[in-house]
Amino acid sequence: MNVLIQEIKQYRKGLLAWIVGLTLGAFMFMPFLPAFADNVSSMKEFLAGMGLSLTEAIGIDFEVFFGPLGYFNYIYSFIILAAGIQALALGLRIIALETRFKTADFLLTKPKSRSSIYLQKVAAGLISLLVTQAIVNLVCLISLKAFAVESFSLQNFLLLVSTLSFMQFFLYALGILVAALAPKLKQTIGVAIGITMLFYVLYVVANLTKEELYNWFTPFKYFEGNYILIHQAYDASFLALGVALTVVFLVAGLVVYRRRDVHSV
Amino acid sequence: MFAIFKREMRAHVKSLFFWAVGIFFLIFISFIKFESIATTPEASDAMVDMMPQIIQVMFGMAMPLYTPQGYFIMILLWIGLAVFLHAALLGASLISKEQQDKTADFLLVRPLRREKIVLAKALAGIAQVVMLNAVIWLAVQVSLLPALTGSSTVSAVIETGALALGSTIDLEQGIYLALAGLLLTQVIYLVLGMLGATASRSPRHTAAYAAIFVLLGYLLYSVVAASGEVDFLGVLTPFWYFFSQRVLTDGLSAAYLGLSAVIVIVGIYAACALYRRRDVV
Repeated sequence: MNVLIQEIKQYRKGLLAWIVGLTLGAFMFMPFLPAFADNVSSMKEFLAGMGLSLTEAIGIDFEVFFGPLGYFNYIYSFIILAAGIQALALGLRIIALETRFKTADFLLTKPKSRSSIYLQKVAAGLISLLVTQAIVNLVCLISLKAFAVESFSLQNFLLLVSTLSFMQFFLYALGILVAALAPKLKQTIGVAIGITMLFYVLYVVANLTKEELYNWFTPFKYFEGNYILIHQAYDASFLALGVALTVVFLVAGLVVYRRRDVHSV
Repeated sequence: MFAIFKREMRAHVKSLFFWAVGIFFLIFISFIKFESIATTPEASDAMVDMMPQIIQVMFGMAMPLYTPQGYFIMILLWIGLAVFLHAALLGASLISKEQQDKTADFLLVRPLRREKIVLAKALAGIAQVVMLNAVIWLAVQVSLLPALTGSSTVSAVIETGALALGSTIDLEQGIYLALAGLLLTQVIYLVLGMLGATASRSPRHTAAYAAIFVLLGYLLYSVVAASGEVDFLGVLTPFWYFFSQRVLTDGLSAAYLGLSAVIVIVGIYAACALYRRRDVV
């Protein structure tokens, strides 16, 4: 238990900064929602004048994209990008920082198995991420309720925000594995930004070019808001792949961490 | 001094390698398929059109994406965000890692003035951002430029894009100038990262401050680009100096070239001065 408490204590300030940043980021965009709804309704009138509905004009059932949840999903993808960086950096941090601050041998000489240390560290990170998600999503829900002109389905909202949790857990697990495999890693935030941006831009480009192959390599596709908006469900195969990879990363991280060579100072 | 330069290059070779591979890969996959975007103007463009101006600008989608100009502006905004973060973090870590890794006293007892240490580190940093920029340049060479000469559909959308921008310069030349502007902005962020690290008291937090600084610059750029009326505020954010949309329209702005030179020179000078008086523990 001590390791868990210690980890949470150490991350307290960083966690607070991330939560404030993320909620401000989410909140900042909400006041634009009425303007968006205005644009949409004038577009609808224009199309109705020509005897068309939005769906006919664009081809796919895009009606859903132009409601409050459509707007929210657009903004939320940005929040997920930032929150993904947080999760990946946290995963790197809980393993890599012991080496950097030369406290690894202090920790490992305690009468505790490495598995127990690893599990407590992982749990501490998971708690921090859950707190982040709860607060960010609550602020999103309240501000969306406040600014949305039309009503929206709460169930779909919850389904949408669950992508944040899956995404964070995936990148967190990836971060842990990377840190376990790269014992000399020093900078956590730079690596986290690099990897997460890579995934994100890959996802954007995959969408624009319609290249199916790219989709398999980016978690932003595994847990995708657009797909949920249309189908009101996850794409089962991508979801399964994403969750399976998360578990594999965590287990592989444990295996590596148990056997790795830690230098004394 | 050369020994420090060499050491810094070697210390960052791995991270530079990963950044270079990542950025190259991204640019390559972004542009290699450009023709498929140009031939089927995206259906979700309608979604982008409905967004308020500020959000379009933030996502780099203020121009139609099926034109090479619009697409290049969007990709370069994302790439820019990544490489500016790289530059600022590199600058911060060049200075603060000595204290963090407890190698500062080892370095400072060498028979070398502190100014020269900072200068050697700055040169190593500049060499690295130049290399990263060269990789971007190379990636654009092998992916975007061939795509532009491909078909008649593409040359038609080049015209559309040029009209939408009202550009006065040739597209290919504009792309080279935009990449040069990107390099200058990288150097500015590198120097600002170093300056921040020499000014800050706690070496543990310099990386976070550098990242926050870049993000604030990005937010301010969005406000300036979206409103279109407060261009003078652009002076405060290096994102704006050589923003690719402006470069593709009019080329590099002479005033901002001058300003960048001033920032880099004064920044390095100030970093030397601050480091000389710094209490290194």
